[in-house]
Amino acid sequence: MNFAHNSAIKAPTPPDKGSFPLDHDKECMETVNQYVNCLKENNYQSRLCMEFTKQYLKCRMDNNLMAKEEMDNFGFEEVKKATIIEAPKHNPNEPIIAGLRKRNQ
Amino acid sequence: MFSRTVSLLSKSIPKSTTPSSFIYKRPSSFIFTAGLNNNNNNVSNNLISLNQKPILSTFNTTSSNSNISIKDTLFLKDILMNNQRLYSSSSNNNSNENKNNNNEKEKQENDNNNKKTFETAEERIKREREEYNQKLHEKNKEIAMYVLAAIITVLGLSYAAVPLYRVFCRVTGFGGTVREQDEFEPMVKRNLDRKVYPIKVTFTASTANKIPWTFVPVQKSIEVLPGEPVLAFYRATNNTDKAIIGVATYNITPQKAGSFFTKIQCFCFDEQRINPHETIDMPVLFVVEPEILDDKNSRGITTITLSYTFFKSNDKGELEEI
Repeated sequence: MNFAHNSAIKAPTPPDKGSFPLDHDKECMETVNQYVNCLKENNYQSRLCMEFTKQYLKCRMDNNLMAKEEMDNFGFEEVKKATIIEAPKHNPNEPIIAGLRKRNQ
Repeated sequence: MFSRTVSLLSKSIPKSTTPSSFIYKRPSSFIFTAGLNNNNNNVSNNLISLNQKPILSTFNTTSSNSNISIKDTLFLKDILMNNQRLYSSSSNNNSNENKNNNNEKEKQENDNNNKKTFETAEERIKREREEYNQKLHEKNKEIAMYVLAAIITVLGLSYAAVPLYRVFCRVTGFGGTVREQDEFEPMVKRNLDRKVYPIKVTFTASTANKIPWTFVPVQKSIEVLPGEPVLAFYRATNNTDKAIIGVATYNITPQKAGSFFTKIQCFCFDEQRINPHETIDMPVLFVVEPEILDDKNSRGITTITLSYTFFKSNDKGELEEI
């Protein structure tokens, strides 16, 4: 696909592990509800509900609804290393001064 | 043979004149007289084939002149016309001569042979031109066959191009063709030993006017850290009595963020079947790449919207938006 040489936009890629098969028999319904409730309680911050995410994925793998994968590979543990800061203020109407190159902070 | 011809003529000709002494001013008469005089000389003249050039050297002219009556002239004129006609059709109708009487057959054969051996320049030119035309005609036919074959080949290729192109796209995945992948690449762990700020991801599900089922996201938005695998759910309910097969596609807004949004697993681009009066939870496992915080182009992005659209695929394999 031609994006007119716009390097910011890359061609779409398929999902890494493909498509989820549908859970017709509701085998993992419990874990879904637990996860959704956790999100509601924690103001929809996903990093606080990682345990339930892991449980849901485990349930899927056990019931043959997902390819087996090591939990470490997903990268749940890496999140703990991150330092959370405030989002920097960004002015969308910032003027562009010709000839003045801005460096990355 | 010639003596017989002479004897036939002599029956109607007055006895005062002898056939061998007739002389005509017309050029064809030379042929006739030469034929008549051949009974003594050059028997080989009778045996000369059609394709040989006329042998004018064997021409024999009578030495003496005699008186010719009108009756004789008329009779001889008839014979001459007959011979000329026979000569013009001799090349095609040699086989037809066999149907005549023996006498007439021999006479005609004799006359034919006489005519063939003494072909004039005009007639030779005519014959050669006809042969040339025939050759041209055959060449033209050959070329016409080649051109026709080329046209049919190109037409056939253009018809065959449709399935061939489909196969080519499927094998190479050119232009974003969806391919089936047997093996998945190993998962990449993102390095998060750095400063990050959360990004809000909102979820929308779009439906069209004709809605046989309801399709909504379970959570409106989730606050996400870049590099963290996040789980989100969509819920679809089939309100009809028939099982419906649907295919989902997704879209990311803003467009620049699309390259930083990695889906680990989702329910898109694959046919999903929902039984009647059934509710299904469809998960999406995604990661927002940490590079989104570093890239110049994506500076200032704090909200990403993931929107899903469900299409109904009917039996023919076509898609209708639901």
